[in-house]
Amino acid sequence: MVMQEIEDIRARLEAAPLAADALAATLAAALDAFGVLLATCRDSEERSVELFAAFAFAAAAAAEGRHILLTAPSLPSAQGLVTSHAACVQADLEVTADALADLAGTLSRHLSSAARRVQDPGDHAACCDAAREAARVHELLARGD
Amino acid sequence: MTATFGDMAERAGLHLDAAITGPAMAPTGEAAIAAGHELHRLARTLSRYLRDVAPYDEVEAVTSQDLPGWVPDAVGAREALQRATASLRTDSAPGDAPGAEPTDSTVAHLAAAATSLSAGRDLLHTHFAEGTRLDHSEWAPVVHSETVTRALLEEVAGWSGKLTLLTNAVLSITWTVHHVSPAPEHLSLADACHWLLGATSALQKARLSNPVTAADTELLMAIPANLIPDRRLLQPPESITDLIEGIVASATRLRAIASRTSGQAVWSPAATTDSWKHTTTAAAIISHLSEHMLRSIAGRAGQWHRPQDAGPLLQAAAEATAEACTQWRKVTVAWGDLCTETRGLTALEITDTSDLVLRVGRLAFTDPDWNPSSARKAVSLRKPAGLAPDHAHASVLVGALHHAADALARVAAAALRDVGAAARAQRLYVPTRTLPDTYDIPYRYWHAPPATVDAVLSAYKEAVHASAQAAMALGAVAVRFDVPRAALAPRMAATGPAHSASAGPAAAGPAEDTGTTRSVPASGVPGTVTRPHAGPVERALCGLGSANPVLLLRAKAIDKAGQKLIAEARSESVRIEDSGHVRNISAPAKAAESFPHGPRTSVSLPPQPAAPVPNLRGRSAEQAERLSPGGG
Repeated sequence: MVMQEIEDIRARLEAAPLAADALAATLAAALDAFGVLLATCRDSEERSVELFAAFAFAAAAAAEGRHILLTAPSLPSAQGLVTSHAACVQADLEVTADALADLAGTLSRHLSSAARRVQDPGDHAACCDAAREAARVHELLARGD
Repeated sequence: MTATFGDMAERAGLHLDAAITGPAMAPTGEAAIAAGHELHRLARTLSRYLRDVAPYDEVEAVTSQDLPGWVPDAVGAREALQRATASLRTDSAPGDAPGAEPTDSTVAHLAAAATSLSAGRDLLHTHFAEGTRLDHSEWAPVVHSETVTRALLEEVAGWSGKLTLLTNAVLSITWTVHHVSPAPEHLSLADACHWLLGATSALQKARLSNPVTAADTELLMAIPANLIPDRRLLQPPESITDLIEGIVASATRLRAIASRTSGQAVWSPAATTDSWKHTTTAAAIISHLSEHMLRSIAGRAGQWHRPQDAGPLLQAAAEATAEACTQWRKVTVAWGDLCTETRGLTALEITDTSDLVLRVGRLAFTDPDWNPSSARKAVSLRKPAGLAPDHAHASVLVGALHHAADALARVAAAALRDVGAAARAQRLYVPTRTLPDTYDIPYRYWHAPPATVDAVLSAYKEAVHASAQAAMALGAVAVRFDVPRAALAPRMAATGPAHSASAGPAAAGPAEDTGTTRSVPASGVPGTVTRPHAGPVERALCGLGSANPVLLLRAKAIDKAGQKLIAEARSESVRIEDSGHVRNISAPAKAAESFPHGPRTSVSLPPQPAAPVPNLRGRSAEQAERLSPGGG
């Protein structure tokens, strides 16, 4: 279930730049992506001693990224009231961590890309800062071979 | 290395012994006058030590039934020392220039002893707010604990005995050189000898009624100056010993910092939600890894000869640590989208919580460069035999984890205090977008709804309680593993194993007043009886920061008079009731509480928020109520 949610949100992120209002679509998808990262990391924390610290700090970074986007002026008005996602962690924690790291990497790229295009300083700052938090999540959860 | 009281006491003792057993003092009038000057300093310092441990007047010491049995003797000794001090006072200045080393070796030893004793007393005073006896460090409850008071009396008794011997010796010299020493000085020294003998005798009585143990003295000598010790830099690869020492060092620094930042959250830009959130996450990780290590070595406890119940004790400590982790995680969730007008990891404790995470992680895992980001790079957990190959290693590990848990309890209590202060100063905000539609606000941030803040405070209260319980459980294990009391966290060291084994949740909270009602006892070590509870007027004066002893004494007298009046009224009411009259008298406690308890609350305005944050200082309580989610 969580893997499907991650896939769906990835697809939304990829499609957002092609939307009529690309920035609003990107911000909305990014906000939901942070929500998925936050809920899934928190649900995964206690499942492994080895990964507890990584998931805990990743959850903190995801919460911060979400918080930053909530102040972006171009975020559609209906966004932001839902604060958690019902994550259902699947059995293989390594697969989940890989998927979350991948999603965070994608999120960081799209937010960085959006930051280069936007004019509004508030949106620009929000995209830059949120991209940094997404990169942090990626760094914490990626295998780093 | 932070100086300890033991350093000062040892130095003073060596100099006093050298003055007694060293070469005889030069038989000159100048030397005798200089020696008298130093004896005066010594007697004055000893009387001040006794004033610290027994701050009562003579009548109060004898008539009060609340005081321990040794107090009248200590007060008597203090009075005798004060009289000796007065007798030793001389108008003649010593022959040497101010600040110069005395030429006579005996006088030099006396001067050095007086300086060391005075420095030792100053060191103890660093644990209290300037000019008061209000706690200012984690060691403050230890300093005024019964244990340390007992040990200090023992030391003062020893010093007083040596001072008596030395004063007698100087008196002999003055008789020898009577041609340069006028008769009044003989009489003064003889007088001083008389009072010093009296003081020493009274102190011996106090000692007998309050016998000291080696552990008591060890704890007194271990009290450090109230300084934040230097940070111990991470230098990987660190051995297990290095890691454990580093954990204790970071924990010590965290406790010291937690005691020093009181009141700053109202105004300090360094007090940020980012810092609080980071510390919360770090605390959860430290607790989680501690739990894992405790469970790991609990499985190996059967291989050690002692203690026999090591396995169950370690499992119980692991359970308590797991609960602490759970509560810290709840705090991270409760924080939600709250923020302050300033951002960043700016708080003093950030470095040390980060160090603690890394060192606890490097203890739990085999990778000497472990960090949270390396979790998915083939890390492996340390095996139980590597963590604690024997009983001795296990005791050291448990001691370190006890320090970490105790530091987290202090950090939680400090955060609870500071977050509450920040909320009262209206420094907590949420993105406006997260508020219900009833909020029509043209700003990106708005004040946090009270319910959101309350949820954070409630979560912190539970984290304080759970962390303190974990620290106590680990302390109890450490004591069973023969870890010396002086090596435990100060709060545990003062209360001792007997207390720790039986202490309930009420005793578990850090000895710091956070203004909460849950599991956080009033300032002081449980069981401490050296100072009776202050009454409402005395508390009000303390709250105002008054250090004037006359005012404090008057406040105490007013409190006593109030208590007496209420008691009289109560007995009167009983008589009226017994005689059939209508009884309508409020409880004495209610009457006592009608006194002012603290300074009138003054609202400190927080710094002007950054541009997007509105200035809402003029918002009325009614408006705030209306704007809150529950306010309609």
